[in-house]
Formats: sequence, C-alpha cells, structure tokens
Amino acid sequence: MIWLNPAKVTLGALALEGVTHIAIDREAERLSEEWTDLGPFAAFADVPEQRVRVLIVRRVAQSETAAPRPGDALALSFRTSATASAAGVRSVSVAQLVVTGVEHAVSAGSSGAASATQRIRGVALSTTGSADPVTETIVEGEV
Amino acid sequence: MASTFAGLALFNSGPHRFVIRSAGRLVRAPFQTPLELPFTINEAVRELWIVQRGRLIAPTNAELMTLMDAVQARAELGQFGTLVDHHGKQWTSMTMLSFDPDDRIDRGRVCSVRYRVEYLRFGA
Repeated sequence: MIWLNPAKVTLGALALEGVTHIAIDREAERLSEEWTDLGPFAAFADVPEQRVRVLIVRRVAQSETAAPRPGDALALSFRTSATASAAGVRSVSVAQLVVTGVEHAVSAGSSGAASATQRIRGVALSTTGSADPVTETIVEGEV
Repeated sequence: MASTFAGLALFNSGPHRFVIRSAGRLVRAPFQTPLELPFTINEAVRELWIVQRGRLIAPTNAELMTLMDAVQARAELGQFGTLVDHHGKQWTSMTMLSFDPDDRIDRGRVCSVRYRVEYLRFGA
C-alpha cells in the first residue's frame, strides 16, 4: 500500500509536516509449503508469520532535532483521499509502530538552496497477534 | 486416494508422505578372534520401520487440537494395524510408535502443524 501526500500525519506526539508518501510493505517472514507422494507440485502453502514494514518520507523545510529514535514504539495516523474533497476521506492508523531507522539526505537544488529529506522506517505491530496492524476507516469531513 | 492406519483416516486433513527407513536382515557385526576368520551372524528379519512426514491442517486452533489428540491417542495405544499409503500400498501389523509435532503451530490462513510419525513392525 502506498499513500501519496497524506495529511494530518502524526507519529506519537509529533505532527509530521511535508510528508510526501507513506508506504506499507508486507512480506512473509516464514513460508510453510508441503508436497505429497502424488506428484511434483506443492499441495499446501501458508504464511504463518509475516512482517509489515512502514516507510514515511517527508521533506524537511527547517532544522529539526525532535526526530523519533530507533526502538521507539509510537502510534501512526494520517488521513488520505483520492481527491481534495471531503468525499471518501480515509483515516489510516497503526496502533504501534516500532521505529527501526531514521535517515536524512540533503541535496542542493537548481537554485543552490539545499533541500532535505527525512525517511522514517519502522515495523508495525499487531495489538493481538492476529489483528492487522494497519487499520483503514472511512471518515466524514475534510482531509 | 486417502491414506489410513488401522482403518482410520487420521492424517488426510493435510499432505503427508511415507518412506521405508529400514528393512532387510538383522546381523551381528563381524566377529574375529586370533584363531578364527571373521564371521557375521545372521540373526533375523529386521523390523520394518516406516516414517511419515506431513502436516495436519484445520480451520481453527480447537479443531487442530482435536486432530492432534486423535493421533496422540493412537500413538499411545500401541495396537497393531494396517498402514495404507496414497497409492494403496499396504503394510500389515504396523504399530504407530511415535507422533512428534514440530516445535510450533502455524497460524496463518489456517492452523496447521508439521509432524513426524514412526511406524514399526515389532519382531518381524
């Protein structure tokens, strides 16, 4: 899943400005596969363990010192919509995002002014072990 | 076709495979003394040993436990039975010797557990 230009992004107590996109990647941590005595093809496959990774990318406009740190467990929430209208606004939240890395990159623009990008990586945790760590709900109101 | 042991279809919730691990003659290792040439004692037919590996699968944890309990009960019973594989091959007078589930139950789309079962034909 990927959301471009999400609004009202909060990570813990931080309100993150300038977020360009948030991506959520899912991958199998362990794959169970079985074959039979009847032929060469797998007869069973399941993913009993999976990992949900979150990447937040934002433009940084001015100096900052209050960045999250690896190991922090924070709630992530943001709003998104296909259009800027109030219709179909969705609220996406991750109850607990454990930060695994915060990186910054600075590059010089064509005008000579430096621009900075911050990338926050994390692993989303389930509240129960079976509930999806990412919840998406339709909300009323503006983005 | 479905496999059975002692007429029971205990394992057909998931894929499983059979292999003969040991068959043949039981012999004693070569003896040798200063006065005799080496010789081997031919004792008997070796006990037939069959290993089954597979996975029990159920939609819920409780149903998986029911499947595991049934296999465990059969393994603890120690009775003889005929083992029939997917191709209809039959091994008579087999005893389910052990049932060893894997070190974890997998809970993904379904609940499942890998296992290893050993069968032995005692004193064959």
